[in-house]
Amino acid sequence: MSQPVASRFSTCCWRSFFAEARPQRQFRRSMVTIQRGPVQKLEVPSDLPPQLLPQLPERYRPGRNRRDIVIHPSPISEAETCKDPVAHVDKQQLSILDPTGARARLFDKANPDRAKVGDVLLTTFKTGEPVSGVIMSIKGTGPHTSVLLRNQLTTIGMEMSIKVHSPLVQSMEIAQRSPKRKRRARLYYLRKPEHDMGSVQKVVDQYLRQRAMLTGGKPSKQAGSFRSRKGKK
Amino acid sequence: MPPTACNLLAVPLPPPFLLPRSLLRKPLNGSQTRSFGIKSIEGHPKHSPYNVVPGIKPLLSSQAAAFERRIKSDTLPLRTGALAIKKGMTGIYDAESGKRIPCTVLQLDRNEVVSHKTRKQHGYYAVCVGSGTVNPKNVTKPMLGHFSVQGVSPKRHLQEFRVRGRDGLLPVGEEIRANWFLEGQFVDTRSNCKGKGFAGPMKRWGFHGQDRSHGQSLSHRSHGSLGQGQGGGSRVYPGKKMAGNMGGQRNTVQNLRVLQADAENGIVVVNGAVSGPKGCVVLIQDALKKPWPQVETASKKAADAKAEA
Repeated sequence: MSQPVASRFSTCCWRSFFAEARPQRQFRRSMVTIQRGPVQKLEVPSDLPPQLLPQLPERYRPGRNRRDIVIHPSPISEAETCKDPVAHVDKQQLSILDPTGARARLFDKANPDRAKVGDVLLTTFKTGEPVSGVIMSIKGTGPHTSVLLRNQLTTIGMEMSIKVHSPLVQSMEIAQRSPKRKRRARLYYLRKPEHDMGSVQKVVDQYLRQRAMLTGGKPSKQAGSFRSRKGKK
Repeated sequence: MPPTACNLLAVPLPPPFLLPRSLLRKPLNGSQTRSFGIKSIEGHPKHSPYNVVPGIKPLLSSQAAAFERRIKSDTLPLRTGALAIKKGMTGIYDAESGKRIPCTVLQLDRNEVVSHKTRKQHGYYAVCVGSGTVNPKNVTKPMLGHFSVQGVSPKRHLQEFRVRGRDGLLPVGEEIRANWFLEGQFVDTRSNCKGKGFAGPMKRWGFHGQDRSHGQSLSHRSHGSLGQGQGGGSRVYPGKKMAGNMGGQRNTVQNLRVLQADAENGIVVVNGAVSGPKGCVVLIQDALKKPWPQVETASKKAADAKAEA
């Protein structure tokens, strides 16, 4: 241990040596804080030499002024132009599928001569295939309108739902109107044997004959029934 | 390859049968024949659980490596998508076959490019698209400042669409109309599906439930056992299908054909259903699993403009 004498004392020892030599502390922090007035903010001097600028907080440096917030105008709104896009698409579809509006009028609620449930409807497809039957129900609106036709083919009941505006449908004619207004919107009771109308082939044939007489042509072969076609074979 | 005698010595060597055995070691390979009862000098070749084939680089967890992998896997569209609102479903008749196609009507509203994310600054390329409009009073000041600097109006919805490269970055402030999507192209739609609340296991996972009768009491629609006892670790495995909150989360529907695109009314009609209720926000972007649509990219357009000038 060849340390100098002085370093052998610990620091607290040194403290006590100089305790008397040190002046007594005059001001002690009190519990009471003296209230000051509002802090006066100083302006950053404009002629500050550039070498001092890095000492300033970024926001005080020249050229860093607050930029005004601009609310830019919104472009033309598509949603305002077209409030109901689904209806728009439907309308567009209808104008393509039914340009004359005749088919829509046939099932328009406002039209007193419209096709109603209980009427016998004769439908011809683009392929020339005819389908006839009693209208059991009319469902849907716009391009989605569909009719449910019921008929009997070879004594077997047949039902077919046809989209009125389908591009596959060539024509739709009412072969016979129901003598009395039906009191139901959906004539599902026709499925019961006691209410079944049976085959509407006779009605359709008569209608075709009448139409041929009126127009002065032969009854079209196209509008024949499944049964008649089978017979020809 | 371990060093052979030839590599070590430059001087011509005597014939191999005169050399010490240690210099005649052959490199180990997988098809080494087994020597029963006799230990080779090499010891048993140890199978490494790691893929130590030379030339293979380990997968890195860095952002740059992830970006590279994403580019390599070809799962980023070339161009940005758009934000739309689901307006409802309808049917459209196909002119040729006469078939009725169920479709969803989506409407774009004031889509504008708000900002970009770049590889240099953010680690990836993306286009931030805003749609709709919002009262500036209800927008925070930082966002208002952002809109102000970018030169676009405050937007109701904001969404990033990742693109593969710089070519896909549509200029800021550019409007995206419905004709951004071409008729006949395929798109992916992303939206939040309808929330079903707290649903039982039958509804949520299609469990069959339990018997109506046969002595069953008080549990007809509940799940059965949750797993084995001691053999299975006496615990319920994580991810076990149970009752819980169903729906309301993001769902992607891939490969929907665009049937109509009407720029004036902002209408995009896509084939089939899109997740979510009417009025929900739908993200539309080019389908990942179909060939990209044939459109001019932004850089091509710029090049053309330059050529014209």
